[in-house]
Amino acid sequence: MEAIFTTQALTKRYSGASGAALDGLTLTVNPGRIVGLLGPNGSGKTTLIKLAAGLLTPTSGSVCIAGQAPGPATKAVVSYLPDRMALPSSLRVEDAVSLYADFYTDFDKTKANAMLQDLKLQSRQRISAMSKGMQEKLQLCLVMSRAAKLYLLDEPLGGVDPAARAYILDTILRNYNEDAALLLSTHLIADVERLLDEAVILRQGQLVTHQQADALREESGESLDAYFREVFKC
Amino acid sequence: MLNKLLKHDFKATGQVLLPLYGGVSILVLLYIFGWRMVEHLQASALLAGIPRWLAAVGGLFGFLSVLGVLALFICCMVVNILRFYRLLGDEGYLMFTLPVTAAQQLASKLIVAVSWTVGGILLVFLYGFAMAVPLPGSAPMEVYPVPGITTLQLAGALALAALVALAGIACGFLFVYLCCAVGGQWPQHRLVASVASFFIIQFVLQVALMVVMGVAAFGEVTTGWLSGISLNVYNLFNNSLAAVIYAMLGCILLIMVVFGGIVWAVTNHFLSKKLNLA
Repeated sequence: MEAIFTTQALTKRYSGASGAALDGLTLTVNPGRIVGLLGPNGSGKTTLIKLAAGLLTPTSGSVCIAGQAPGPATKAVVSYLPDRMALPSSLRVEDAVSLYADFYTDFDKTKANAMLQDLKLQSRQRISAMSKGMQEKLQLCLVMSRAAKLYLLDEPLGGVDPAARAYILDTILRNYNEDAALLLSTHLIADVERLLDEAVILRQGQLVTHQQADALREESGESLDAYFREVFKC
Repeated sequence: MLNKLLKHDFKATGQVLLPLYGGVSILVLLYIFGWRMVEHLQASALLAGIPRWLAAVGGLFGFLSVLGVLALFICCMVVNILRFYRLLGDEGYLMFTLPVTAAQQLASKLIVAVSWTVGGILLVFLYGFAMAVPLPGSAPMEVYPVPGITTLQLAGALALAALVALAGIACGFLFVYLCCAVGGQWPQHRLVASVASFFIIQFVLQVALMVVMGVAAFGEVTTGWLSGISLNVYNLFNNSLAAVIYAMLGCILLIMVVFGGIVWAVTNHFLSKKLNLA
């Protein structure tokens, strides 16, 4: 099986920063896997996802998605959820849907509209008039309405309440294309633990471990959440 | 994909600029209509003199019209620059994950910015025409011939001048885009870095231009090479004034195209090879 996402000795240094945000990371993600990208603040999770999305240029090393370096071809098969609101606030919900439908051939408008209806989001509603949580749900609906090969979700549970988290996780599971890989970064490990096939743990830009979630639980004799708390105890 | 980007960019900028262009046009055309009406009434001896209050209202409308036209161009510039600037901020998280090239993003922003600016200029021409068009019963508009140049040649020169103006507008926007792209290399201080880039790059270009002009002037004084070229060009085109104007405008256009091409290439390089969103 050809890997959908690989990095080779990937390093990223930000100008003015003392250390590397990512330091020689080599990683392989195969299709059909849900991979949790775990680590404390500043461990390089967002940097890795942004490099994969083509929003950052690596200092050295390489990123490969479906056999290609990040560019228009990989962006057509990657569905990316940023850790912030990227949709212009002047847009209405219907404008955001039509923007995705215009640019992504794998976007399913019917699916998106059904999800938006579930969330009681009116198509004429302006993004600027929505709460932060609703904005995040809208972005997630759009991202999960694509039949992408690789989903990159950066802190999808970041700013939402616990009740909404359950909806978001269900949305991810229900709409995730099973032939695709899903790379999900979060601090809320307990919430996502049941979803994960694999866990990638980073510390200060370096790989601590990349294992099957079950194997890691078996090896450590505790849940991923408990294992994470132990490894990164302050 | 470029047409989809254009559709999106025109829609986004149109939300701000269309109401502004419409509002300013209504204001200016109302002023012109009133002014022409008074002119007509005076010409047909129905109005002996302009009452003070009418002159005051007219003056106020005229002042507001001038302010409106100024606001139109300033807003057009600011809106289009901000659109590019935001591309390197949070909106970039959406726009740079679309399956389009950096060159297409740049082209879309540039075409939209130039189109709105040209649209504003055409509106000003329309206002001018509405002010100058002869009223019914008055003498027809006269076109004064330019000595040494035929109407057809003049039309050609004007078309070339319009191209130079178009290239100038495009170069202006491209230069600001370049500064934003350079500023984007310091994501934590992007605004300061963009403004600093604007002044530093402009200073460097001015120094370079002064050096080139100094060398050219020194060469002219010592060898007279510039006069020689000018005379040769004049003779080459059979002493035709039109041809000399064409040659001059052509040179300016060529310089702008080369400058714009370089600025485009560098900006595109920053967007495609050095992108670093905060």
